[in-house]
Amino acid sequence: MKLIDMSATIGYGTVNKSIVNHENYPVYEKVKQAKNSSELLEEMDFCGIDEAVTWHQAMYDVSVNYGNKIYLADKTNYTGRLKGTIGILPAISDADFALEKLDRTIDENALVGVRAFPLQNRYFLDEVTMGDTLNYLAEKNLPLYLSPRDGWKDIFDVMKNFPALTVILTDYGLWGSDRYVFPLVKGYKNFYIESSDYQVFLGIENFVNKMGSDKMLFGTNYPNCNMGGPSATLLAAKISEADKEKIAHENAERLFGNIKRRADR
Amino acid sequence: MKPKNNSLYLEQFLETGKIPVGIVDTHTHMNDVYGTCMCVYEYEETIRRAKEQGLKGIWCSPHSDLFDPLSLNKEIEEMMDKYPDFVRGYYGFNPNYSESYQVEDVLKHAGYIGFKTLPDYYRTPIDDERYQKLFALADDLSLVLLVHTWGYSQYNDVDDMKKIADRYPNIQLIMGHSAPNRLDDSVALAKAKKNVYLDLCDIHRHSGIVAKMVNAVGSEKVLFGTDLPWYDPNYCLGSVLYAAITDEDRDNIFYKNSERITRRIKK
Repeated sequence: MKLIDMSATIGYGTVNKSIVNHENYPVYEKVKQAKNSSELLEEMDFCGIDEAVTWHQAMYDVSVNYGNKIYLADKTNYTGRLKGTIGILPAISDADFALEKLDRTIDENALVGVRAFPLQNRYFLDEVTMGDTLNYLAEKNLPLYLSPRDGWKDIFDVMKNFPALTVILTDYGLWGSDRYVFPLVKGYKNFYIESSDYQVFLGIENFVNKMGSDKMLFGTNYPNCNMGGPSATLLAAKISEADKEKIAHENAERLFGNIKRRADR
Repeated sequence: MKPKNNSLYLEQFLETGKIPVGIVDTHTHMNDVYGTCMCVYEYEETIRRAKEQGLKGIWCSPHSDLFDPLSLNKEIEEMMDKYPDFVRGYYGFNPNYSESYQVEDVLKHAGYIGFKTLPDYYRTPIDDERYQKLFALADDLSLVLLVHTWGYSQYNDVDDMKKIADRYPNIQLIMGHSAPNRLDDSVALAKAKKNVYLDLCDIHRHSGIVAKMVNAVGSEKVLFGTDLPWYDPNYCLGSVLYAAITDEDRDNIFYKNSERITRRIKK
């Protein structure tokens, strides 16, 4: 079965490695990281993962600007079997994120998503600070990756104010979070979760039975999670092969295809 | 695509969804608990589904026995009576109510393999006098002691486990979760002390951890654990199957180590 990992990290963490055990509860442990795209691809080959959506740890640990710059400078990070995402900041304060420039960066590099770390960079994902950017992302159908590392309430607020936004929940820790996740999945048509830490007993089967198979995407959040755990959990889940194919790669391919590129306009 | 990992167990898993050997999960709980949201947790259904996934046994201490001081291990004894070939029990011990427990009861039920305690949750350090009668009994009989551990905790850090291992060398001590934040120190302790074991529960999920443990200590000191029903055994299975270790190492982790530990108990 083809596997597209919707979130894998390139680069080394300042602390190797700050991991969400459950929200607001990091663990710091030394894990095996991928220094560059070659090392990530080597790990993917060892574990049988076909493609991955990547980002660079420096976008979080150093700065969005620095991380984006070194990430985009090496095309192997987001071409071939790898697809790219970058971090975003408010355009009102950071000129590189003015919509015209951001749009060009995204399309010229065929990026398939952006990531926001609002608490880390001291801004709000709200109408006043990010309204234009979030409306642009919604219009473009470009996925925004968010982590409840900064709090679940912020995610609920973003979805309430920008209900058409395509959001992929990532880096959410291993505790069962369905009391948060299910309302978001049910309430917003473009809300997705990648499966990296979705390891509650029989959780994938329960998710598919209750929420369907269109809103879950295979993911590893490597190296916070190893690639084998999420792979085995999905491959052994007692769901239909059709549902498994959707989670493994079809939903991701649909999201990639929905993105409106400049050339299409 | 086919993984380059050349494990025959992985190959079989990818073909059939199963591996050819049964697994003993040495760190499980059963039933509901605050905080997390689980979809299957009542013990009968959990055991039924866990068997389907290929578990051949569990070592268990239910949440009620750990967090309700009035439960006094009623639930694990019910489970062991009902599933004598599948469930082995940890006698849960909360030192805040030490006077309520008769720790010698661990001898009365054939299913008990030892004790489980959670110093962090009980806010009681491991060198507190109230634990010592239990530790002495476990030492006399080479019982298993599963202690929740966490790196830099003031109650159950790696150094606390070393104190137990130094003072009670016959206890078969499982460091629950292998003290996340201080895994390297846990590995060093497991390497230095013949009766100290690493537990995969929770910590296996991170990149490279299983291979790191096996390469540093040897697979004879690494135990399969999932916190079931918190986490899916297939996830831990995947962490082990896809790791850069041998199938002989996997046999140790899946069942041989737990068999060896059980044989050493002098009950």
